[in-house]
This record gives sequence, C-alpha cells and structure tokens, in this order.
Amino acid sequence: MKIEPITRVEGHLGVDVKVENGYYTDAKVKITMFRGFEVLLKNKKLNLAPNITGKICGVCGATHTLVSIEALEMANGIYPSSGSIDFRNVAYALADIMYNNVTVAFLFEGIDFSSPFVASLTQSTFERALNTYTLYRDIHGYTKVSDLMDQLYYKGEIYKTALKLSTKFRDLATMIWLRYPQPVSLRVGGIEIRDLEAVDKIKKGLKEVEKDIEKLIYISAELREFYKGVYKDIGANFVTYGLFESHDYNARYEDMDKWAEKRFIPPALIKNGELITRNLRDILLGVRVYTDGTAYEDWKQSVFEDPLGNKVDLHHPWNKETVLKNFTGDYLFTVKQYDGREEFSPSTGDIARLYSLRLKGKVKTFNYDWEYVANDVIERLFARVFMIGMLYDYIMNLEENKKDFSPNTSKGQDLAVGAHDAPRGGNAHWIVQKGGVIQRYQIVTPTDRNFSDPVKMSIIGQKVTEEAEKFEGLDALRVVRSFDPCSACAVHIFTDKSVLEKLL
Amino acid sequence: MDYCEALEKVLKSNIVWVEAQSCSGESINILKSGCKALEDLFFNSSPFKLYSTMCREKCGKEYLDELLSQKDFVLVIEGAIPKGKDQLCYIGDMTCTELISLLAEKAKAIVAVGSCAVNGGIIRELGYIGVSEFLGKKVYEVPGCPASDKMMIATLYYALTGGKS
Repeated sequence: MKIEPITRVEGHLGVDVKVENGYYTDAKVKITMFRGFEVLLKNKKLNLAPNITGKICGVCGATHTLVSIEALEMANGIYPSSGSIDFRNVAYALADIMYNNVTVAFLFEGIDFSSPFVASLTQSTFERALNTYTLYRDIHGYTKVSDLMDQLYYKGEIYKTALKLSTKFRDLATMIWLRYPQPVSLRVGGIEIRDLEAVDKIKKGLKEVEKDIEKLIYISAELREFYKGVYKDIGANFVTYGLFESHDYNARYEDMDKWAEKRFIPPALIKNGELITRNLRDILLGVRVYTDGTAYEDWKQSVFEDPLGNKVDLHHPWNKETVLKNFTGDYLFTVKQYDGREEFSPSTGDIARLYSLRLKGKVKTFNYDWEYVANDVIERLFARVFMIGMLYDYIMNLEENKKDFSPNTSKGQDLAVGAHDAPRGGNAHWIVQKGGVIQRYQIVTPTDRNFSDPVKMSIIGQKVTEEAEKFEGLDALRVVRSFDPCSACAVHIFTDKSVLEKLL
Repeated sequence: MDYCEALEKVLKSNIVWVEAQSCSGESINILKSGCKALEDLFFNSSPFKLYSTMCREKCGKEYLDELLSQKDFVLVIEGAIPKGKDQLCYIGDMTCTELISLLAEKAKAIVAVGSCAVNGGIIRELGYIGVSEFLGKKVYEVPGCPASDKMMIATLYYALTGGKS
C-alpha cells in the first residue's frame, strides 16, 4: 500500500508498506523532491556557505547556518568568545530545538494519538483509554487517558497550547537570531548582539509558559505509559554529535575531542547499549556514504588523511563527489557508521541525546527522572517533549557572559567539518576548501541517517494495531513521524531511490 | 481593524497551499498563533479549510482527492518550480507542475509565497523558476526568504477581495 504524500511532516514524503497476517512485512520510504544545494556551493566563496546552507530548511531553520559557521570557524581558524557562545546556545535551544520539538510532537504527531484517530482506527485501544486513569492528573488535569486524547486533536486545548508555545519559542529566539528561520546574526567567530539583555528577557518570557511546558511533559508521559510496548523497539544503537558548546570551544580539529566532549549534551556513539566513544572526531571520521549501483558517478579518492594523519575512507564525506550520471540508475543513498570494527546504522535524535546524558548521571526535568526504556515510536515522542523541559532548565540556569564577544584566532585548514545536533539528530557539513573557495561541500543530515535503516527497521515487523475495515497505515505513519523526518534537508543533493522510481 | 481581523472578515474560500521545491519556511512561518482567522483554519474550526501538507489530517490519495475536488479556493504556492525537470518534484502520483497547473486553472486567485515561488530564489541558479514565469501570467507575490507571516496574511486578504482592497 502506498501512502503518499504524507502530511504533517516537513516536505515531500511517501511510504510504501506491505502487510501480511497482521504485521508490516516490508517498507520503503520515499522522498519525492530534489533541489541541489551541494552543486550550488561548489566553487563558491567559502564565506557564502552559511547563508546558502541556511536556506536548505525552513523548519530546522538555524541548524545548517550554525553547523556551516562552525565548519568555517575550523577552516578559517577563528572562534567565538564566551559571550557569543552563550547567546548562540540560548537561541539555538529555543529555535531550533524547543520550537521544533513542540511543533513535531503535538502539531504533527499528536493528531495520530487524538481521540478521532484512536477511536476510529483502533477501537479496542480507545476502549482501554476510556478505562485508564491517568497517573499525573494533578499536573495536567485530565482524569482518563481518553480525556487527554480528546484535547490532542485540532481544536483541543493541547493542540492550542502547543501552537502557542511553538510561536513563543520562535519569537523569543528571534531576539538573538534577529530572524527565524534563517538567522541573520550569526557570524564566523561570533554573533551580532543587538540586545545585551536578550537572555534575561527570554528567561522572563519562558517563565510565563513554565506551567504549559510541565503539562506537556506529563501529558506525553501518560502516552509513554499507555503505549508502552506497543511499538517495535529497534535497539539501543545511537549517535549524537551533542548540543551547545562550552566556553572551551576553539574550533580546532586537533582539540575537537576535548571541546566537543564538554558540550552540554556530549557526543556519543552507542552500540547495543554500550558507549563506543565520545570522541566527536572519531565519530565523524567513521561516517560512510554509499551510493553503489545508483545514478551517481563513482568518485575517486582525493583525500587520504585528515589534518592529523588519520586515514580517511573512500566513502567518507570528505571524499564524496556527487555527480549525477543519469536519471535511470538507482538513487539509493545510505549512511553507515564505522565504529573501528564494523559498520552499523545507529538512529539519531532526542533519545540518543538523553542516552548520552544518562551515561553521565541523572537526567531529570520538572521532577521527572528519565530512564531509557526502548527505541520506539512512543519513546521518541516522549524524549522529544522531555527535551523541551531539559532545555528550559538549561536556559533558566545559564548565567550568560555579557562581555566577551570578540573573535579569537588560531590556525585555519583546508579540510574542515562542523557537526552539531539538529532537533532530529546529528547534522554535519564537511568542507574541502582552497584559498577561500569551496572545492567540495558535503552535508549529511539526521534524516539521511534515520532513513538509511532505522525507519525501515521500525516498520518491518511492527504489529498492525489498526482494527478498522479501511486500512490507513496508521502505525507506519506514526513510525515515520516519530523520526521527525525533514526531506528538504535530506535531499539537498542526492535522494532516496524513490525519486528514481518516479523518474523511471 | 488589523489585517488578521480583515482576513477573518473576507475569508469566504478555502485555501489550497501547495509546496513545490520548498524548504517549508513559509508553511512554518504561517503556522503561528496570534491571528484568529488563521488559527481557526489550523484548528479546523473555521467553516473554510486550509489544505496544506504541514497540517492536514489525512494523507495519500484521500488528501490529494480533497485538494483536487476544490472549487472555490485561493491557491498558495511555496517553493520553486523545476522547469523542464518535472520529475524532481512529486506530490503523490502527480508532479508538482502537473498539480499546480491543474489547480491554477480553477483557483480564484494565486499567491506565490517566498522568494523561491516568486522567482526561483536561492536555487534559481540551478534552473528552477517562479510561479508567474511558469504559469505565464501574473500572480500575487510575497517575496522574502522566508516571506513574512504578516505579509502573507495581508496578501491573502488582498487576493480574497479580488485585489480591490
């Protein structure tokens, strides 16, 4: 069965699923729009990259600008002072992360868990909701699970609250970004500050919605309990590049392991629940992109070593050249992660970030202790909302530096990389430059990673929970939306084999 | 009377919002609270409907059929048009260009939102064009990257009054 287009996601998506004996037995995710930003960047002046890449996406409207700026800071040997770092972190916490998470969790995903959907498509589940008393009704005010499901639909209180918060977070972020999406205040080595009191004003603005944030966390905690074990767990394989630089950030490649590990959320590569490494440089060196048998030209190895003499693989983005051969081959584009022994396909996003933090200590916000349960639909939704609370605390507890905004200098280099988590997970830009001109610019987004295997793995083997006569593919849609896909980001140049299917 | 109220007064048609080669910047920019006429559209509590991939309930064929069966509507287009490379943009089984051409014939007004829809924007260099150039006729245009939510509302108001206000 083909479900295309998929609504309540960013951009143009479709999914083909096969169902047999009550289980999903096959799935193919499709992205049906293609633009070509990496082609656009080739031979352009390096300093244009943040502005151009910022236009890749209007939903995660700051991540590409920020990651591109960090890549340029490494390339140019310029890095920001503490004040700039703090202001960047606050703005980025608000928008992209908090605004995106509330939008995706409640304006996109929440509808699938609202009474009209649950009652018409999964009647026995709705019966259970009608008979299930909530655990945290003193916080959110809903007595039964079905009561809160009523409010998840379009006209509902929860939907309205989420729209209000989504707008609020963006408006607050704009005090620092000056425009959102596509911030205009970011500079290589700093940020243009128009209002030194912006963080105080932001804290005041956030305080006004503290209760709303708490309610949304506990509403999603109810869904977490109610849907526990219903969706397929694809295992604790995660990657995160981390979030928010510390004051130790100096953009130097040789120090990347040290400064990245000091991020508020540190990078982590996790396999079968075990921490493989927190070294961001190693994680990034382990990224592999495969386009075998597709419509793309093969590329020849031109980069053999990184600036420290570490081996760079043929399939690493620093080597990748995306030249379209024809429209008749296979566009399969796969991202794998090499862990020093073998390649695998970790998922990325909020659970990955929380898992990384949990390895360091307790993860708590609004009196809720987060513990890892599974890598499934409802856990992704819960982690997404929980992260809003985490970042609320992060901003409220921050004592920003209001003095040091001057850029610092170090040594530039021709090979550079910027990597930071977007709302959906790890986002990285690799640059090969010469004399300030881009020779190669490669982008691997979180959706590229999650679409490489995790989405498919989550759908195949999933039990069909729908009971209605007319099959709508609700479970597959819940899976796709739980990964918060962003097709505009994912198909900046190459695309999934589906476009090829269309072209054929 | 601000333009949100003005929009509420003149909103007598559905809005069909199609994303071509877009980043969804305009969709996300208009998905904001603070303008009752729009909120009612998002909340499905308006007698009129907003057909947009960003906020519609149904997916797939059902959604496309809803779109194509509209009779009295304003067409809003976001994103550039892949001139001569139709296969680079699909909405369901239809290319974006097919869908836009069909809807444009029936729309009571057409509004291009964002620089990409106005003239191809940042990706014009790759050969993509704006709505007016593609359709070969004048349309209401809201430039900007992204287009301002307030200007989009104002232009919708203008389009809904037949350009007489």
